[in-house]
Amino acid sequence: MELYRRYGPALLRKAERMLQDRDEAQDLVQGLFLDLIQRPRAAADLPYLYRAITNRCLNHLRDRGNRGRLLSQHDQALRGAPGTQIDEIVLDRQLLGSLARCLDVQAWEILVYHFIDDMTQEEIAALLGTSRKTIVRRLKRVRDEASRLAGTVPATAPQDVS
Amino acid sequence: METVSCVPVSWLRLERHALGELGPDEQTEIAGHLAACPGCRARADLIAADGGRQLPPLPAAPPARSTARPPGWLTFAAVSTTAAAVLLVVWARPGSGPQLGGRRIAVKGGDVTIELVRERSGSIAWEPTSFTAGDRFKLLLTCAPPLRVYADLVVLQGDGPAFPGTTSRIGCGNRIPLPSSFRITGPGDASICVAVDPDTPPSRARLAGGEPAATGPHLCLHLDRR
Ligand SMILES: [Zn+2]
Repeated sequence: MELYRRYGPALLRKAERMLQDRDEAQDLVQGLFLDLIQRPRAAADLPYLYRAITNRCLNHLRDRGNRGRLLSQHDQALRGAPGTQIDEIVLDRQLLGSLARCLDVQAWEILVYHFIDDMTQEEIAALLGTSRKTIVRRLKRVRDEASRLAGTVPATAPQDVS
Repeated sequence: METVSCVPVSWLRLERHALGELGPDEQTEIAGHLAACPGCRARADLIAADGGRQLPPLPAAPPARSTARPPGWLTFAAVSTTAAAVLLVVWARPGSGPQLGGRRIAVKGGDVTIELVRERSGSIAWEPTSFTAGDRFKLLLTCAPPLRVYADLVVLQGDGPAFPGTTSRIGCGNRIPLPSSFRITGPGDASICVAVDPDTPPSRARLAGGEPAATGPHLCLHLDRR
């Protein structure tokens, strides 16, 4: 399958970043392409497939414990580069674990694109077919929750951000 | 990571850049960024270095079954355990395969059906009763959501118990694979014992004792060595 050959590696890398497990990632990527074989889509380009695999990974990680796992593995990534991604809020592991319990599915999808995939608000808006304003609002919710939780969650020891 | 002045190029754009899928202006813009930004360049290098990776084969669909389930397949990646060398088998499609067979374990909240799948030289056998060197196995669980169960399995042979993976907590569904898959490498016949429990992880100490010692919801399958 040409699509698989062309986009499979990128989707595997993406799924591995989310799942931190090569075999689970293969499983989900193959499942995605198998479904495409059964129900072909004319416009299955990489952005479409990226979103599809993101949602499969999120479903896979749907329970809170696993989301906590996702967060703990992406602690560094979720902080982002200084001054770029998370603003002034220091998202340590404990805070992120708490965030996992109060965000809805769409907020999680946006969180993943922004903080794990490093997409800009414009890119996320284009990918989701929504307005940048909506993404800004949803990301604000993520940040608000982070701020709220930051006041109630004891800080952990600072970690290097190289 | 990136320098402070770097607004990272997203992984998706880097992937599309590597594939040459962006417009000429965007390709040029990203190439320029990569030349100046060590952080993003390191990511692009990771993508490039990963370019030679072998994709697991995407199999052709098998003949249609009596239901409209999608086909399934097995892919492989080598891992190791302490007691027995195993080969990880990834059951790629929950819900694939023939109509549900297997054996049931009754637990609080519903039944859990256990199916053993064997892969041998590319062909798949459901609920096999024998094995030979090189066979690969996977256990699939079927139970009704929203039930969730802890599940664990042990392979028992003459040289003792081998646990191919860690205890998993499985959200019920149709043919959910246990993450651990295995090849049977010890001497003599083998028993595969699986334990499930909605409330607590099954005791490995008891599971290691096989049928005589296991308590709680479990079952053991016997496989003859051929
Ligand atoms: Zn950069």
